[in-house]
Amino acid sequence: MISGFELLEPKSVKEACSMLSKYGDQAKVIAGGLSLLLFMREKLYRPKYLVSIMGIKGLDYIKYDEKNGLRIGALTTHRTIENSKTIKEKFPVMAETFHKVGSMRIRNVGTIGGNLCHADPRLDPPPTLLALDAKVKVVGPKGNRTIKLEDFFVNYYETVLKPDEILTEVRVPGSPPKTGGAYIRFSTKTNDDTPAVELAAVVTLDSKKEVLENVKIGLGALAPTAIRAKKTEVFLKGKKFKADILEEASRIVSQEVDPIGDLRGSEEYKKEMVGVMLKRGVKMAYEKAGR
Amino acid sequence: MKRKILLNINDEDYEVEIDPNRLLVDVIREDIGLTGTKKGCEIGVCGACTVLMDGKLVSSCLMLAIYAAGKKITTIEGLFKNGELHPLQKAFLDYGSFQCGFCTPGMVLASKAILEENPHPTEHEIREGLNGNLCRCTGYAKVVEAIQAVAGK
Repeated sequence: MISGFELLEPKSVKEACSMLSKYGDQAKVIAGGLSLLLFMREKLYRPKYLVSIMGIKGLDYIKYDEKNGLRIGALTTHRTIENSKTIKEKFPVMAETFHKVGSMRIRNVGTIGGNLCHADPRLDPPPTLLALDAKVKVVGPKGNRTIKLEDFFVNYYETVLKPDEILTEVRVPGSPPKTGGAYIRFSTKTNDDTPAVELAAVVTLDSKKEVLENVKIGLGALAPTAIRAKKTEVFLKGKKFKADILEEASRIVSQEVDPIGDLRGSEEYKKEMVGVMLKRGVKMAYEKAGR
Repeated sequence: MKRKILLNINDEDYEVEIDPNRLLVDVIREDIGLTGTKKGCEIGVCGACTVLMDGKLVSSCLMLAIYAAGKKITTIEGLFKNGELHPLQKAFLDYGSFQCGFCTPGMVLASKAILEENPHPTEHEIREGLNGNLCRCTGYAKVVEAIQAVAGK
């Protein structure tokens, strides 16, 4: 049983923000509703007002140009993203990642905005979006702001969004040539279960395709939020792609994370596995970058 | 506050007056009386509550009924048309692709979606397409065979 609420259906972002202002922490934004209704069923959220943004036109789009890179409207579904020709061409690791979200039923309804605002560190999109240097555009009654995704997540289910703000767009800068990406979702139970380790690697090579000119590693399920493995990135940047380098990087990333032990693995096991996934992920990204 | 909405289910219009917190699966089962759609996990992972909304598979257990207003909903009952079972329903019967039958409505709808997107799927593609529908009885083998049989025709 989901507790009672008033459903408000604004027709514009401005109207939605003013409703959120009016009702403060008695209100929550609802998009597809998957994560939200789940939490309301579990009595973790009991909003008196749901501000549905599904009726707001112009938030479901995928745009790309050389100058601005990729811009995705907050109401774009995971299914639209995984099937997008533009994204498959320009950011194939994104298409692969979004294909792994939930099941077809979830992907048909869930939105990228809802996914990011739910801020569960075990969701699939954030590690990849972090590794792609994504930013989000947030709109409030006082104006807009653009926030780096790595600064957006605060804690489990907590973001920097103020109660009267709405995430409207996700932005990903264009990738330089010789860039490749990989996303690994390592689940210790069944294929569809919440994973023990999530790792996204985005690698840019030099013109000779020998040196890891730039490396970005996004991690999920290993901290209260999805994170970037900064120490590991700093180590790998500028190094040649060699076995002993990868080995050292896997040691660094294992030390860099502080996961909790749970049903999906002990602390030690997850630390070991992130090291394994790092080697695999960087290798896959390196191979794709070289093509 | 209750709201009057029009739900189009299996090509029929139903007017219901419901609170906003009603879920689609409950309105389908209790208010409309179509109990083919089942409640399994109630968290969107098992597939028992699967319905088609504008041709797309969705979990009706995580969908506000109000969100379904103005959309075309198809439940398992909608596959039986003009006194005829859908080819997938016939195949599930022929191949014995169910035991308790609880997952079956969702399984059949998911099978329909697989074949609509990919008329000649490989076994791997079928199994991937079914990964959101959990079955505790059959081990899925006969479900795959039934889909392959329909695809082969």
